[in-house]
Parts: sequence; C-alpha cells; structure tokens
Amino acid sequence: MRELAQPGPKQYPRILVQQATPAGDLRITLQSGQDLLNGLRDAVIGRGVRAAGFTLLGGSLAKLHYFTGMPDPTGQRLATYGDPTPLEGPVTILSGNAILGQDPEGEPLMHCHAVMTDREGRVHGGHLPPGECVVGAGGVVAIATLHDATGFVVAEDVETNYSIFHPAGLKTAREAAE
Amino acid sequence: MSGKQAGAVAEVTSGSLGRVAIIRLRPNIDLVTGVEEACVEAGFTHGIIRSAVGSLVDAQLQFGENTVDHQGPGIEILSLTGEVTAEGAELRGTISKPDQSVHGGLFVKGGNPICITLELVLQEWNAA
Repeated sequence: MRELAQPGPKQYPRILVQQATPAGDLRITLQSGQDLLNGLRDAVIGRGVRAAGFTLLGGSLAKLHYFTGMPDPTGQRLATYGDPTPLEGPVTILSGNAILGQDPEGEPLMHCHAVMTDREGRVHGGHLPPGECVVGAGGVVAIATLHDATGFVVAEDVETNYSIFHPAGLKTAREAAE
Repeated sequence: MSGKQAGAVAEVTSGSLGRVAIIRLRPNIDLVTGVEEACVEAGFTHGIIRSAVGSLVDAQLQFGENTVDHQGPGIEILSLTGEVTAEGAELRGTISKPDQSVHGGLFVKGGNPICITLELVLQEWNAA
C-alpha cells in the first residue's frame, strides 16, 4: 500500500472515535425545487437536532454541480478539487452519503458525496456543494441517523492543511450565537 | 422471472440499532483495517455503516475474480455500504477519479489508503 507524505506532521491518534447520543432516525422526502443539501440540513435542524448521518435512498435532481478530486498542483495539499462539473437534469441519484456537523462557530455544515446517472445513462459522482443541487420531479428520499452531544465539528488539521470534520462535542445554539 | 430455488432460505435475524459512533480515519490508514479497528474501539461487536464521506490515495477494488488498482491521489469515495462483524469489515462502494470516471466494487483490505480523511457514522447492531 502506497503511503504519500502529507504537508504537515502526523497527528495522533490515527483513528478518532467518539460515542454520540443516538437521537432517532428520520425519513426525509425533499420536494422538487428544494436545494438538496440545505433541504436535508433544515429537515434535521428543524427537529432541534444538530447532527446526522444521511443515506440517500434515491431520487432525481433537476440540475447540479459536482466536484471530483485531483492531485494539488500547488503542492500545498496532497489533493484538491478540480473545477465544478455542471449537469443538467433529469439526473438520477444512485447512492450517496452526507454528514451534518458544525463549523467552528457552531453553525450547521453539510458534507455530501454521491453517485448518479445523467439522462444519457452516463455515471457521474463527486462532492456535491450546498446551494447548487436542485431536487427534481419526484423528489429525493433520504434516511437520517440523528445523533447529539457529539458529532463532526470543523477543526484545522495541520497534517493535511485542511479545516475538516473531527469528532467533537457539539455546540448548542446559544454557544453558537455567542 | 422464476426466483424459486429449492433449499434456499433467507437467514433472518431480529434485532435493533443501538449506539452511534462518530469516527475519523486520518491519512494513510487502510480503509477496511481502519473501519475494523474503529468498530472495536467503539465497543461494537457488530457495526453498520450509516454514512461515510472521504477520499483515498489509491483504490483497490474487487469484483468477480478480478482485482483492479486505481491510482490517485484525488480519489473520492462516493458511496460506502457494509458492516463490521466478528469476521471483519466487508465494504463495498463507488469511487471517482480525477478523470471523472466512476468505478465500484468490494474494497480490498490493505489496498485503500485514506488520502485526506474518512468521516464515518457507525451504528451498533444488536441481535435479539
């Protein structure tokens, strides 16, 4: 197995594990015209829950942008995203996962990767950004595993030179406002 | 389509989903080995992948009799499904490469080093 050097020093422990408090499950049906990531986020936040893992069970998108990875040409990081690829619908979602966590200020933040086919049957996949993926006719169905107390919170990672999700205690709405 | 097969009976287990663990694998940890170790550390004897988002340095996927290597970095994990049992982790899914091609299969243990991160929500399965 090839091991590539990261820009920063190794951080420990190499595997981070924290127990969360299970907060039930939600089946979410997004309607045509909603934004995919913001819609999933709001469905969970609207229940007063701060964190969740999502499985996309299927559905369609009217249009979207997605990003695929590539080696970072600047050398500042091992990998980065290329230019966004736009796709016009109808696009069928085949599978996908998303995570709702928090930014360092306690604001909700989504991270989503998915695989889909375009109207010609070509398979695409990548990182889906918030605000750019519009749910199509027929909607999108997702199952969310809600959890509380502990979740993914953005923190600086000097090893990869990215600010990314780490298991941590979640901030309350009041803490986020302060 | 005739699906009837003499002697073939599904194995059905009753149970429920339990505790939830929030997990990050750091760079160069093998995907399958790392998920197995994280499940042990979480204290689950049986874990189900509920959500996973991340990337790989390189990917090694198995399908049928074949094993194919994909070279990164910049390989995105698009979907990841499977479970961790006493026999280990069996993880399947899809990846994208920098050329935007998409591939899928069983992730081979020891062949899928994490690139930037794997964010994983793992849930315990409690058989009744």
